[in-house]
Amino acid sequence: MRALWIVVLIAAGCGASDAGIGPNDAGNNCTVFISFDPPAPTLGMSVRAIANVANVNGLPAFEWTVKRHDTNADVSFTPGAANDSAVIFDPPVAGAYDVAVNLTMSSNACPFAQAQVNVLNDNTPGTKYRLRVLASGAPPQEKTIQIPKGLTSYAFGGDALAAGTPITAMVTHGAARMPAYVRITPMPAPDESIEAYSDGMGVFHATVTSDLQTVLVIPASTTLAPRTFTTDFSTSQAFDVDAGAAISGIVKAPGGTGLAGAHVQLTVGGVPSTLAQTAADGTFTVQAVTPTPSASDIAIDVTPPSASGLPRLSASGTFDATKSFSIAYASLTLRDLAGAQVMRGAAAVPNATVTLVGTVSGAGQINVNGTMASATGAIHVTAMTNASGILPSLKAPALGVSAVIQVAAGDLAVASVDLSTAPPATIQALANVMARPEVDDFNNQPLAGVTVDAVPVGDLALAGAQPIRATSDVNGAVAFALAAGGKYDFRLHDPQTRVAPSVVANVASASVPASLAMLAATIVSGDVEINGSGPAANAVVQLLCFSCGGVERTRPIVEVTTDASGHYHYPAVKLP
Amino acid sequence: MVATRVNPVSRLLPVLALSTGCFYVDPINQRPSIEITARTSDAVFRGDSVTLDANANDPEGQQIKFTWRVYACTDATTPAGCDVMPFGGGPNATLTFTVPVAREDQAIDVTAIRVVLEAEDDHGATAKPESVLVIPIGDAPPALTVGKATRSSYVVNTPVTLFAKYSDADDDVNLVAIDWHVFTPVQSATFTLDDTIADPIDATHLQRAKKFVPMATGSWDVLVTVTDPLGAATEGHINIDVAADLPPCIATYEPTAPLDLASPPLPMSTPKRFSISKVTDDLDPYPSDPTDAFLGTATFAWSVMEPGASTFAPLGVTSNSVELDPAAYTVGDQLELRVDIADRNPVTLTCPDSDLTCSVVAGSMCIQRLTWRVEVR
Repeated sequence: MRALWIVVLIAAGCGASDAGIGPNDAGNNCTVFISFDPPAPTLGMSVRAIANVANVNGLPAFEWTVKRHDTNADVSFTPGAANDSAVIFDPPVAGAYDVAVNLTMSSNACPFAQAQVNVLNDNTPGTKYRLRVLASGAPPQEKTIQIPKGLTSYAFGGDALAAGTPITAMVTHGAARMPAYVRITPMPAPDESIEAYSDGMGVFHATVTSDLQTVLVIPASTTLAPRTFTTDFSTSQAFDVDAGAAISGIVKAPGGTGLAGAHVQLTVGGVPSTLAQTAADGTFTVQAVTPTPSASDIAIDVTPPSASGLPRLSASGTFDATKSFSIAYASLTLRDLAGAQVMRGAAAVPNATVTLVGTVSGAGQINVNGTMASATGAIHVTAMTNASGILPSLKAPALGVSAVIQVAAGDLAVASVDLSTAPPATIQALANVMARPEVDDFNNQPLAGVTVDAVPVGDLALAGAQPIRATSDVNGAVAFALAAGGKYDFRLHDPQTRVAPSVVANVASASVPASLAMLAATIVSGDVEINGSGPAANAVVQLLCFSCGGVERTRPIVEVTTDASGHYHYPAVKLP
Repeated sequence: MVATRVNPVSRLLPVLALSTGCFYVDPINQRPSIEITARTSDAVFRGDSVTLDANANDPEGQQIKFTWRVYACTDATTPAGCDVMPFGGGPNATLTFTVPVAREDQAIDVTAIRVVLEAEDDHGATAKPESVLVIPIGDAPPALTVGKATRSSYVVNTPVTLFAKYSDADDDVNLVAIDWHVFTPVQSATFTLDDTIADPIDATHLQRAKKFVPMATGSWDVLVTVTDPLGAATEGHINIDVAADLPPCIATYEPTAPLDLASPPLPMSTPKRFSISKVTDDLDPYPSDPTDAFLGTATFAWSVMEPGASTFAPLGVTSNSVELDPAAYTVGDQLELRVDIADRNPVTLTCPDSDLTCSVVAGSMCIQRLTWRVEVR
């Protein structure tokens, strides 16, 4: 991304920079903008707002208003210049202030000018966030912002988005045109990938920034290797893929025999290979981008057949891609839960889906021409009980694992299962834990109408459990039927924006606090425009975690839509 | 109005002059003449402010002293039709007064004003006769302003708040009756107009609001009539063009969905968030505006066709996003994740399950269903 983001004061006119009253220059347009002294005030300082006027005819009169941005309440001020071209005010609280000035009595019309100034508690650096904008006609873009702590409101100013360039490009294989998945990632903004799919004619469309882009192409054909390209789309409009290099190897089950039916995928220098399935003798061949040099950072992922009971293997290292890969499982003892009965109390649980999850360290070994790497193992196997609650064959390593049991839709339980010595005869799916916490505001007062999502984490998430949503009642209470033994993140959002979105993380279902407290909010506001097109109306503006990884990095803390003038207004943002 | 009268002293002056041998004639002081001029010929209502000017002419150019008296009357052509005591008056050449609502008994409405002007010059000569002005007083109709809540569109079966703000200059505003009458766009159109839902009172106005629910599309006309106790009425029309509810549209979503069956599925190698970032709708957009009580929020129904399955199973998720973890699947699995959106007037989607998108309006770019084809990698 180029220098797409600029911070500007909201100003009228064309931004003359000379202070004071300009020359009586009839025929030129009068311009006005407001500046502040000091430009970055802290609480306790008097703030002087100065009208910088140029090309005004006559002696204008200045009509000022100063308001708190959070409450829109008037703030008193005193004259700051003999001709009232400046005013001085003492901010009562830290936060954003809206200052406006209207010039009258001039013989040529001067525009109304307004600006915002943030008054901070102190100069401590604020919390970093990513501000992301999805606007029609522009590719997604983001920037890092810092919001000072302890403010009731914060004016971010204006942001200018690159308009983006619509491109039409093609995926080919020689003379043939290929359907493919395409991911275009601006080099300066790795979070802002654009995804596209070339059709049967190999053609895809996208709108991109003018930055240098990394283009990942994954052909639909399993015989062609995914590969990446670097381009700014100024010339390259066709991306030619080929079979790449064949990388072969073998997956060996515990005991050394070849493991049939395992899925193998390599990632060579960040570029995925084709997905291969091992033959009856455990051998496989994937097609991958030809590494240069041949010794490259390569990640290996092996997913064994579910019936094998073996864990999934993941390993990485610097390997010679021209050599054969030997992937060997460690000597793992497997237990089979076949015949075990799933119970709830004294009753059998029919047709329950049981997913075993867990991790195995040192689950396997990678050997590529003598270069070794240890592989970690992830257990994820699933089976369904019969009408009597009896499990069919369900194998897993002889370790302590977790069983996530779905008794019915939305009715889950997590049970610890010790397979180290022998499979248990029964697995207890405990009844749901009824949790009824109260949602409170920062003054410990109950809040009605707050949306609370209980988002499964840990074992529940690994088993694919989905969030449960509830809304607080008039007493602030929310009711959940939670999985016994499970853990949740409670994500709270107030549609009425009285308080900031909050997260109470990693809460065991048996230990849900009586009160889910929500924090005071900071109002964050700003404006977005697209270069050359004016205000970005109806754009989606998201505020995202700065330092998070994984899927958390993609979860908006808040998201709003800009109005017709490109203005956005986060009514409530939590500031840690 | 000018009147003349001979002064008896002046009749004696020639006789005295002849008898004394000296012939001196003292000037005879003439009476001033006066008339009343109103500054406007507009109709005057109770409570109005009236300004009158005294136009006087004294032959000797002397200073004129004025005396105004203003009476509240029912029949101002005779003093008997007026109050005994004047309610206003003054000594200046200009008189301003406010027309009272009732006569001094506070029971009889004022229907006329009798203004009497007397004038006297420095030597005591008075204008004869006094000048009298009769002003008929009308009953001012109530003032009325009507309006409706500002919306981008007015949707059938959706409440619209209607406002009527009224006042009455010469009657107790609380005695003003208000009537709401709805003219329907077609004969069979139905509606509800419930009781007043807001009644903020200021010192001089009443404001009433109605929640109006039109149950048919077309141009509606709501006639508001306010009538004061004397029967003076004012009407105001509120015109409302009511449109059919538009279906919600999926406007922004992530990640991009492979909607061409010839295209490969979306590869998923790490946990991924699938979201609808924006829904446009006349009633229930997403994100919504919490400051607009009229707006709701679009609803989301997520379902998934698991690997190997042939039907979609609900995920039970109602938020605008779903997160899928490839760890919950096997590498190489293909699944389909689907979201259906609706507003407060949901319409059943009738597309075949195999269609990746669906719209209640055939061929429309406005879709209410979106499907991601995903391959676990």
